[in-house]
Amino acid sequence: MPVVFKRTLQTAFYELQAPSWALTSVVKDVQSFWGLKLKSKNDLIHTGRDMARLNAAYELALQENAMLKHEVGALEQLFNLPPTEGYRYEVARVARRDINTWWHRLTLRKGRKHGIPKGAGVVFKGGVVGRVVEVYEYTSAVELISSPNFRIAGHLQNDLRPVTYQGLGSPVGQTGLGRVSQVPLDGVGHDDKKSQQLVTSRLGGIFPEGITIGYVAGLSCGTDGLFAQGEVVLDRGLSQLQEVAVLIPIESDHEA
Amino acid sequence: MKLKAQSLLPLLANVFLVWLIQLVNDGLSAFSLLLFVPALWMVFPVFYAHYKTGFLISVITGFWWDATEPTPFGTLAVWMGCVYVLMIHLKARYELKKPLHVQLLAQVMNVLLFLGYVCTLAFCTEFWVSSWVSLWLSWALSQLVLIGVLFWYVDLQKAIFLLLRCKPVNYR
Repeated sequence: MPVVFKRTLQTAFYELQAPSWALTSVVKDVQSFWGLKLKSKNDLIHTGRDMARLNAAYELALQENAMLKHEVGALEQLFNLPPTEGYRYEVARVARRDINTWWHRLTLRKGRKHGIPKGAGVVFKGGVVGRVVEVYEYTSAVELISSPNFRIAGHLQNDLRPVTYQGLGSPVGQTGLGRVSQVPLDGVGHDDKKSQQLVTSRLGGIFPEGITIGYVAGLSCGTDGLFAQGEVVLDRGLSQLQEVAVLIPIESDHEA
Repeated sequence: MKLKAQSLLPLLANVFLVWLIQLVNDGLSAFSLLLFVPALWMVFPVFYAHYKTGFLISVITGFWWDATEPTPFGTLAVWMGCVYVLMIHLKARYELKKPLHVQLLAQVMNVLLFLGYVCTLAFCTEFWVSSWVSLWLSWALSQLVLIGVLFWYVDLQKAIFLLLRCKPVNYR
């Protein structure tokens, strides 16, 4: 079959199905909205109070953040460094999950019309979700971090040397797993490297520094004898996501 | 090969069933399982439709499923076309008409399609099986669901035909 015909047919069939997933997702949202409407006023008051406390904490964090940004800017200017890449967060609802033994993907209810670029990083409150692999008119497909095809650069929280992370899938009914490799050998066997947080590195180019990937469950010497490798436990909420944020680089946003 | 108006009914029913299966798979995502029952989409075309239109319905449904999956486009469509031809041949040779025959043939079709799909994906380097337990549980679940849903789905398609007062070529 000619490639152009194949691609056109695939896109046409995909776009024809996309509204049905969006509709299902909207119906679920309406259902949860009416479920929440049934909650008592007392619950609302308690939630409002908790939210006010959280907001106060975030206000303080914002002030601190602004000060740190200013400091980073001053240092960049002083040392003549290239500016740190900025991101805009585009919040999107999850329309469909497709997680099985071969692939781990999500379909988002936002696409090209909303400025989602191919290859953009996706995050949620628990850390990295994955990467946008396909963009359609009103939807986009995200490859999850637990997918065996997903690979990014990262580093351990207290060690800035880069390591490689790759998804390993998820056993039946369990949380997703990944593998960290190319970890410098000097830390193997030390307790400080066990259960340590693995975070993103700016080297990959699609995620900002320091977003959680997962927790290293243990490290052992690799088969090459030069580096260590180990298993990474991912966030439990990955397979039940309702809403995510797509990281859109501000540069490409300006270009668009 | 032309698609007649009444041939669109099983195709639309298949489209509806694909959507239902996607909904179920969305729920099964938490367990890393996949409900894979392409034989359900082929039973009506094999047993109750003209062989040419039945073939087209099967292949189009395969493409419909393929469009949403990250596999090479046409993987399932090609397998459905091949299995359809085999089943038509078997049905004609052994005069398979009884409900038990329908159920048996549907189970065989699903096994063949599942194995074909697994083998094709095995050749694509980007789709390696991350959990064999998940793979075999998905297969067992699919066969069980097929047993439970097959006659409901065939009867639903028959009911749609009756409701619209039209009939497929080989309707019995």
